[in-house]
Amino acid sequence: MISLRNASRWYGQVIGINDITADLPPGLTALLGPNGAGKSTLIKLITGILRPTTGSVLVFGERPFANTKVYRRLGYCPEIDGLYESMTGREFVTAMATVSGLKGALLRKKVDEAISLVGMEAAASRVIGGYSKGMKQRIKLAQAIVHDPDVLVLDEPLSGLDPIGRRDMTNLICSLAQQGKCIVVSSHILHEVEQMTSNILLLYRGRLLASGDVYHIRSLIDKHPHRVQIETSEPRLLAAELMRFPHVVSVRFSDGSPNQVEVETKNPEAFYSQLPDVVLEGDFEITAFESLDNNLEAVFRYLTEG
Amino acid sequence: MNPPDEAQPKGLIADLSYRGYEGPLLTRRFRWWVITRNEIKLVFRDVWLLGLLVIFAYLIPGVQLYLRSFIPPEIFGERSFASYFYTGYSGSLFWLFLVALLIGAPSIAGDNRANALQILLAKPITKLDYLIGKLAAVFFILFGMSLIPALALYLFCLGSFNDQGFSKEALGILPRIIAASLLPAVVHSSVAVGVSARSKSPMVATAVYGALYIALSIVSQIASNIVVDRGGQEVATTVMHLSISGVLSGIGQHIYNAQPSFLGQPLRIWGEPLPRPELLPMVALAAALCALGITLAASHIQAVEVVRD
Amino acid sequence: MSDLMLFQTALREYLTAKRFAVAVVVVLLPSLLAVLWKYTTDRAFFDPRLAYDALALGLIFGFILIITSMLAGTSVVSQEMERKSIVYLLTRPVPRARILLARFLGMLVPAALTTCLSAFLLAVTCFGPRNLSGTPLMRDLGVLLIGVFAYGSLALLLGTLLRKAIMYAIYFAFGWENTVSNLPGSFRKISIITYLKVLAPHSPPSNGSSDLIEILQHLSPPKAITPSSAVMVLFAVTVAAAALAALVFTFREYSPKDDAA
Repeated sequence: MISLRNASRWYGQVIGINDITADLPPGLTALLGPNGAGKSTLIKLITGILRPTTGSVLVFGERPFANTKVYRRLGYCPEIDGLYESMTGREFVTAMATVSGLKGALLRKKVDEAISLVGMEAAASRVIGGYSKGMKQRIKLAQAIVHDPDVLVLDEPLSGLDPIGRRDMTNLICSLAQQGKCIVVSSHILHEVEQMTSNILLLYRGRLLASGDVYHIRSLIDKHPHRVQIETSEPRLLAAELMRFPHVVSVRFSDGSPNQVEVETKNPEAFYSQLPDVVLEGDFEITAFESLDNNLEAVFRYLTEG
Repeated sequence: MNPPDEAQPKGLIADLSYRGYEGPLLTRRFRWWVITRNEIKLVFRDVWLLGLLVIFAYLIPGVQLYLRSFIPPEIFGERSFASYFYTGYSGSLFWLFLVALLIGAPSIAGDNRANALQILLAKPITKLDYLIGKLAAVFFILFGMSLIPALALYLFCLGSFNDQGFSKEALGILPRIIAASLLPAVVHSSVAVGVSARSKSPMVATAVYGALYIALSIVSQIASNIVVDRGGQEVATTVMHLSISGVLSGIGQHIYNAQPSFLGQPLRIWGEPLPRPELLPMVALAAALCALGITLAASHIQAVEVVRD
Repeated sequence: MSDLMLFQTALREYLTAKRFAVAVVVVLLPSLLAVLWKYTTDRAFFDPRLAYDALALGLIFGFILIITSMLAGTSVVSQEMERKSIVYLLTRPVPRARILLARFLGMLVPAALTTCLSAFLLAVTCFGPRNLSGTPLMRDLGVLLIGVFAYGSLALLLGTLLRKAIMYAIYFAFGWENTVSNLPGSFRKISIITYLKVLAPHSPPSNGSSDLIEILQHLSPPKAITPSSAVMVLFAVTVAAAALAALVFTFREYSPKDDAA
């Protein structure tokens, strides 16, 4: 649905994004990166607010800049809080829905649905100027989904929401993704993004560092062996057994927890397949088992910091 | 907030001592200067070009003075050196208005728009520091833009026309230059910042201040035509100057002891040379405008806006 | 429907209490001055036509028309950029030119209403409500509408091109227009107010013009502009400026700056 081919955008001498090639299929894709990585620039290119300096950005096979055909099927929830403060929430969503082409009974129905989905029924009749940050965030999301777009671009959608609000919003985004929509979510809250999707697009200093499934990416990062923490009553014996494997790089014992052993392995698949045999042969009692860095945060850190 | 109470529990949740700050404000001595300096840094690059145009306004009397030295005095009549400084001063007023529009009108409105006051007023500065800082920023820029070209003209006259009578006037002109430079700086900074404090939109504040400046000028002109038959030319002239631009021009005439002229001849209106407006109403209006502007600003600086449904 | 909604959202920005109050003051200002004029002049010597002409020329054509049109025109884009709400408009399935023009019309309606209402009230104050026929009111209302569109379109173009458009608009309106329209010869033809004055001539107060302007006029007498050519020029300016603004808005990028960036 969204396709980027060697897309670059620079602002004078400053590079926003540099030579990015990626395809974003239906489903949920998380756009990650530190501040200044180019996430906002990429989002503006996808939503047609900016044009790429070189390369191409296509949405539904067309360039999105000032393209009404694309906008009919695209919804955008920006990060910035620019809203019509004298309007009520309902008026704002209704206005955006009307400009998107909805009318009559369908318009009212869709507006009510969108406001209900984001949990703003009680506050929809109040002026936006009196909303909290979280309420503004919800109403922004409502205007993005009201016309039932096929592509949703959400820039920091969880920003300003309380924990319950974040959970509800995460569930909503996931349910929209399950309907076959292509959703691009830019966020800094890694552990919540991880709950939504494992499909990521990682940017760093304007370049695309990695794209795809986060666990698959992790397995490709050779420089940082996988760290696995095992809690057992006989940590030293277990460690001695594990050291026999050629893919095990090191074992470490924690000072604070005497029953824990931390193993580093270059081949996690082989490790996981061989570990049960070792445990059974040695009759080890395993009370806890955790993969310390097979997650989004670790991938983010390893790729951006080296 | 009350200072920490010895009897209060010291637990993590109950300890509210971090929220109270009634201790000494241990920051710079002149806190307002921090605001002023930052504001000047931010806006200077927007206005330097207009500063060049103010210099151009003083170039004209400089050229006139230069040409005067070649032309016999009988042609255009005798004029005091101070009147040439008035020509430069009155020519610079429009550009100074534009500078005030560009930096004064959006000064507090921009902070309102960005919600910066929530952060600024949570620092150990008072509202008064903030207000003085903003006023001083606009004041210093306008004062500098007005003073420097006038001083340049002064030095030019000192170097070139000392033997042609400037030496007699030189000592008297210097304080006039300072007074005439202070005047637009004080008036514009007060009124523009006052208008700015009332608005959340820099664009609207700019439009309001511009409209106010021009509307008062037009209304006073029309009012002068209304009263000329009844009150006479002198009253009408005073009424004509009852606006921001009129006050600056009128008081300037008294400062330089000059009258508006064109090509050396006094400007005529209603068929006769334009008399000087009365000083007292001018000063009273200038003072009232400044007081109103500062009062508006002081009463509208707030960290949080309460929105009523 | 979309166009109507865009028109309505632009229009309602003027219906806030603050702006409405300012509009009321602006509408009443010429009438109040007319009342002052009436009551400070002997009845026998009060000339309603003179008063109307002076106030219409100086205040309505010379200020209210210009400031309301300029503000309306520049606000179309500038206000959206300042508020950072322009992204919502740009990502809707409506051609950008239509968004611009719908909002422009929505902004222009209050400007036109304010200007025309002020002229109407001035005429009522000067001539009385029963003596409006035979006065230049109808002519002035028509010309004011033309002026609102002409100035508004130019301001719209400025708003699409420049960041601090209101500054340039004020400079154009009260610097350029006032100066150029009084220059000798054909220079005045590059100001809009010249053509409006041709269509709606008002005699300035005979005591009010300064010698400076008379000197400039005598240096080179202005060549006559016919009313039909004035209409054509104003129409051309309006259409050209609006069309250019629509073109610029269609192809230019408008991205509000992120405060966090």
